[in-house]
Amino acid sequence: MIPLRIGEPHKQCFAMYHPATVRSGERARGAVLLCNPFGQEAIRAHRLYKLIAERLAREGVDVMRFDYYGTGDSDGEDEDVTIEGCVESVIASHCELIGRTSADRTACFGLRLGAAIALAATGKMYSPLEKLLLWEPPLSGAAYLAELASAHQVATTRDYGARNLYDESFMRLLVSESTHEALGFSITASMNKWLSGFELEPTSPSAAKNVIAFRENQSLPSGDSAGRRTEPIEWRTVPERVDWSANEMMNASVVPAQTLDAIVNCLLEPI
Amino acid sequence: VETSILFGPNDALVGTINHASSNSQSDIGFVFLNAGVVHRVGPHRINVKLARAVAKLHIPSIRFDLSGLGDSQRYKPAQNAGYDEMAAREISASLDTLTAKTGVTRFVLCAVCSGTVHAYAAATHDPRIVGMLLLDGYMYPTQRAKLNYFWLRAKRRLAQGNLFHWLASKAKPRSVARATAPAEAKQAVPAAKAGDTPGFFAHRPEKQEFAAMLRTLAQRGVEVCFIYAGGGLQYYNYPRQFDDVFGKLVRSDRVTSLFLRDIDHTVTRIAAQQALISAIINWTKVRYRA
Repeated sequence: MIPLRIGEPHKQCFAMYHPATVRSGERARGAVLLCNPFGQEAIRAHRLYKLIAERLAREGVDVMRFDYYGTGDSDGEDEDVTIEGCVESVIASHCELIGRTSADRTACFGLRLGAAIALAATGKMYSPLEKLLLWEPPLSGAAYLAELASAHQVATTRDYGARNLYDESFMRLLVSESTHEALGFSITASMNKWLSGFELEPTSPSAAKNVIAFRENQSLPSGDSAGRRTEPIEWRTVPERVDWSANEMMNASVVPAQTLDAIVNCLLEPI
Repeated sequence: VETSILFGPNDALVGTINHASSNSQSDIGFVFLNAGVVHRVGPHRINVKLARAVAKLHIPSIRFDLSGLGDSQRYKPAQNAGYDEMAAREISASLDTLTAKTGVTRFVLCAVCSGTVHAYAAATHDPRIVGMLLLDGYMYPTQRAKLNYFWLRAKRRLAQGNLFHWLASKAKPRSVARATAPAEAKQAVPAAKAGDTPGFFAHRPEKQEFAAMLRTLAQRGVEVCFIYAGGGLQYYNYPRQFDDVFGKLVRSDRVTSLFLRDIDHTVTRIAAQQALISAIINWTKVRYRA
């Protein structure tokens, strides 16, 4: 495990490189880039991402996870985050991964908004992805924003305990905030605009050779059923439902075991 | 400029150093600890924001993950040390690292929730630690705090329109109240008691014992600021609550407290984050002439 800062000076992203565990003289089976979800979801998914990386590395795969510019341990502030900037971070991290591994086969994984960002980045990478795995990608950016706004309101209402129910001015303040921040992170005007226009169709095109999307059973896009291939995205079901848009954090690291297995196995599948 | 490194025993720990500016650098360095299982960026990235705010005062910092948390790896401890002892040693290792990278020799620990215990344990044995900022650690409810909280709940019941039913249930012994409660109330999940609110940390040593430890730290010159959030009203709910408990027992202006009514335990709202950052920057400027 090697911590890195990648990108231009003063605009660097934190990245963690997990070299493949291979015998002397052997080459890695491939390389995988992990793309974070947004804001609070990234904090809750941090341990899951570390475990995915460690398990893949033990199976002989080079792995890199990273924080987009303006997020996590990277340079930049919340207000600097744009989807275009996130896409640039993906491309820079992918370059770094290829440069470190000389991998000729790379795959990418993204959860929630990370899936949408990874999808947007695939056409801009210097070498095409063999596989893109999306977990719970938002089908509609507007619905995703509404979900975040609702979660923010629930969290702040609950976290302020007894006070919120009789302090009307305080309640109005909480409601007004949910249009430009969600669970502790800014939703910039640029992000809002991009997401408002985002729709993921079951047949959304991608530059990746194989695109696989995981969703829980009940929420597959209409027209699909579990296991049925709909070009170019292959939709699969996962057994566990995770409420990602929640504020729990202190002792609420999210590692759904069966889905972790499914993600690792899918990324290890021969392409 | 920030750099991310491996350090500590077996290079198992991962940290990010903010080097601040090299011109007129302070001799104080900040160390940011994990809150619960949240990795080193802190709840809602507050550790990153605080690191950059203190860097503007020319104060470098390190934020890192204790072993087994965040990006840091577990390792076999020397002499079968327990987790708390390992945490204290790892904090000392972070001080060594920040000294090696930036030259600072005195340190302020900044911790939230369970991190406050590790900060406190480290400060009692490492003389390089000259300050602590502790958010929502060591809360001691007073009679006034309990009455305040009762009054807050009564106001909530009044707003909900069931004040009298609630007061009547309070007046009954618990066994009677449960036996006469509506069926749906019996099936409901029991209400959280003080000390077991999810995500909240309520560990505290005996008052006299804690006061003695605070006096020892104050005599050593350690500045301690206890910050309490308005999200934990069941434990702390008025500005001078800490003074009511410890004012006469500690008697030192090095030990202070702040009640930030409009912030919650994990500084969820951006306005709450800004309020906390502002309070910490003000304290730092006053205490260290930064």
